[in-house]
Amino acid sequence: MGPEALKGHLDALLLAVVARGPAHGYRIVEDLRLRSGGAFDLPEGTVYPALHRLERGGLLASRWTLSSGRRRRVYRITRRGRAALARQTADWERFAGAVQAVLT
Amino acid sequence: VIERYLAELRRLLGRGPGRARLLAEVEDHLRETARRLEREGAPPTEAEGAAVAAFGPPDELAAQLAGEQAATAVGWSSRVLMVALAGFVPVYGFVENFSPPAPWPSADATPAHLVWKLAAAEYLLLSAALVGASVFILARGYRVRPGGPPGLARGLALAVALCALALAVGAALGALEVVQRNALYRDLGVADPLTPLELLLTTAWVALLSISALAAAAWSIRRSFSLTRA
Repeated sequence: MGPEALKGHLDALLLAVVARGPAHGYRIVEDLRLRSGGAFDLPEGTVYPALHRLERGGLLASRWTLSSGRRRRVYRITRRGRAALARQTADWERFAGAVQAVLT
Repeated sequence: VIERYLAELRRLLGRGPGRARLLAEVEDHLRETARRLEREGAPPTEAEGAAVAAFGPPDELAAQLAGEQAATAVGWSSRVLMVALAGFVPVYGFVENFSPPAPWPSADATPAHLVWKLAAAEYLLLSAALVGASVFILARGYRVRPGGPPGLARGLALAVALCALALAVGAALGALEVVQRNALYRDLGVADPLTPLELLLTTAWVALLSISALAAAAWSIRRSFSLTRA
């Protein structure tokens, strides 16, 4: 599944991944790939501008941490982020249910 | 390979905000990926090449980041514009309520040019308010979308700039009109003019609002038009 198919859903996917626990960019991309069974084949770099935007929007927060002597930016979901994720999940379920009903 | 990628990305990002942070995150990501691939048996150079390939072209990343920043800048500049426009309401109320009322004392003293200036100022401010409100609503809609076309960011930034310019010109004409009308009333001695302190505070407030709106507009234009460099 390419970047075009993911357009419009990347925010919800990133929020869902970070909602499972604070993580840095590499871990988020890995988690996204593993949880999708490798279906989401997007350039890994595209995740960072999206993470920065979500942070500017107050849905994520981040801070530098030291891990094995390396500085890493770790993201966590905010209360507003959880509320946005709940809304986007509900929207997606309605949409997917409707598409499923038409297709089958 | 990773160093070359980072150098190219550094060049493309220019001096934009968040550059150092993004570069640090990208470097960490690329090195982590290369380490994983090496653990899986890839030679170091191949591992770095694969990490860079999976990350995507640096120009696309720079363009995406510039697009996000342009959207944010346009959103904020439209908010500043709306606050500046709202800031004119108390000024207008103050001037209209506390300066002596029309009609002018005599036909000879009727300053047609002042009336024209006042009309022009009000027209410009009203136009700025109406167009500014539309731009604000559009920018709000634009902000919530992931990314967005660069042309839309530029169009909105230009619209914010035009409104800010109309606001500044209208404010300057209005302030000039207030100062001249005040002087005229004082010369005619028909009513109490605004005190020098009131005049100073009014013009300072109007200048602050105009400069804020213009600065915010210049910021969003710079951000949205930097998209072409990426």
